[in-house]
Amino acid sequence: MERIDLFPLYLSIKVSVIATAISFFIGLAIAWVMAKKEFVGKNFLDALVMQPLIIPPTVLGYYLLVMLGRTSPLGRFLEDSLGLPIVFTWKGAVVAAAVASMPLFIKPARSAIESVDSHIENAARLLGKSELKVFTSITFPLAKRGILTGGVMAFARAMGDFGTTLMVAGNIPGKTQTASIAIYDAVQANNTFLANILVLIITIFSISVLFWVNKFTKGKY
Amino acid sequence: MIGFHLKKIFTDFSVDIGFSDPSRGGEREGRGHLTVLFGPSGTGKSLTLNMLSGIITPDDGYIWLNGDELFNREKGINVPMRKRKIGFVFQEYSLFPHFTVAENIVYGINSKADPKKKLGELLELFRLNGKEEKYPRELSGGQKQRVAIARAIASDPKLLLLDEPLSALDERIREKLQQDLLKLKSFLRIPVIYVTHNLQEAFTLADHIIVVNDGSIVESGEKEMIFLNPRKRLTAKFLGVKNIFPCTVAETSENYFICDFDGIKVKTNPDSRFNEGDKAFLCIKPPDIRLIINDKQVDNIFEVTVSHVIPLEKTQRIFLKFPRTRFNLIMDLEKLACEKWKIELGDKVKVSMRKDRIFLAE
Repeated sequence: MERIDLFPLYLSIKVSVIATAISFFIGLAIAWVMAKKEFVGKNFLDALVMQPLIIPPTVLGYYLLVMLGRTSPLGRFLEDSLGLPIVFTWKGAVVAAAVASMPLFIKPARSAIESVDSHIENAARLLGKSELKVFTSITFPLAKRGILTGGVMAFARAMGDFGTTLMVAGNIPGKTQTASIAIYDAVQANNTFLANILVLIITIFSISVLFWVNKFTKGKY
Repeated sequence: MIGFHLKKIFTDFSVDIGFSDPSRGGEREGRGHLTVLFGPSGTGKSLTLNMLSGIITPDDGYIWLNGDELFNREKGINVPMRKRKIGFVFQEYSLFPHFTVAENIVYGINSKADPKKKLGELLELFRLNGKEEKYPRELSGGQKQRVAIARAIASDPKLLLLDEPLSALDERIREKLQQDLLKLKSFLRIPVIYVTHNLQEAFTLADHIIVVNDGSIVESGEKEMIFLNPRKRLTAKFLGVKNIFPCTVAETSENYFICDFDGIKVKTNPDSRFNEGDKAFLCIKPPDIRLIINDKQVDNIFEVTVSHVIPLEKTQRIFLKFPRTRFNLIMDLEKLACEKWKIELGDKVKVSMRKDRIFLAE
């Protein structure tokens, strides 16, 4: 029996976990601002953060490639000053997955935060609590279900990302080849066995994640 | 001690309300003093509480609390909600649904206090012993509101605001909670502002009443003064006075006034606010109209016709038509009396009104 290279699976999970974590922290801040604050340019920001859902993945990938490549000031700064090359490394895959999955996190997270009764949050403020305390003790626990749903959606999107990742990180076996890209490669090489195995593992993994998250976030209130 | 003047303008509604706590320097100094903001729904009462607490920022005005300025538009002062030290009880409880009763209350206790001791006291005071571990969804409406009040005072506020706290509760629970609030008032040493549109609640709880309509104050004063002798037509209307007639002060003397409405002359007590020829409103409460059985000489005797009878819980509300006018007089008569005197539609009856039970309003 042919030996199966599990590196793409390992890389996909690693990239997705880190990308989801990035989406979670940055996305949560954006979701909170969008849900609770009124400011000039809110609609523009909303359109901007939702862009990755609308524009083709290759276009998004191209933007990131241009922004983070060696020819851009940001890319040069990251590589020369921080020693953190992004393009055609696994970190590039993380950036691609994070950007692509962010809107899928923000949308349900924002709805969940918006749906927390402002009287309840005001009750906490009037009891002397800071904004951070109100968020961590009241808003977050009450919006937890929606935020976790966002996390699952983002994770699933990160696991499945193909076009953006391919553009930014490339397809270097053993280095930047994620599961989605490996499946494509396997199909291209007529390696149906490998493709089937990878597809099966990813499918089981995704369903399990969804199942457990649903189980743990069953509504209590 | 609190003083404020708050203005807020919306496209179709505006609020301009000012108030200075009457306990300041008076005999009530240092004691809890409950002021009721009273008036129909949608007149800016809750909005005033929201501005006091900082939930809504006023367009103009100021708020003083115990010598501290919480808000002053001109000086650019706007103390954030969390630093105002104001306890707030919302109409719909607004308990933290993911916390137990004990956790809800402890959340409000500041770190200096002994939370366990204080929690015990508050559970005792609000009859919540045995409910500590329950979640809000497991409590009745009355219990939820008791938790909300306990939570609000747990933080040792300098001012307590209650926004129609009993309006979502049924009659029986409401009465019990009113007793709790009276008990609370007796030992609370802070000013309390209470919003309601319920007359009975206002009467039971208030020391001082501010009557609000259309975003501004109609009249304010000590409870007894407002209830016994409202000076404004709107106050009389909100207090349930059914007979309010526009009149002209036709004759004044030291002992009485004669007022004229639609050709009918009514004798009232004198009122220094009015002079001969002034326009005013005659106000008569339905129970103050008496049926005359024998022709004993009393003030204001009129012959009227029974035009409608509406049965109420304990009385019959009888609509009486004056001859040659468009006005109906509304009288409440005990059901037994109605049966005894066989009052029926179309009957002509004589009624009287004591002059000292009739008051004039602007």
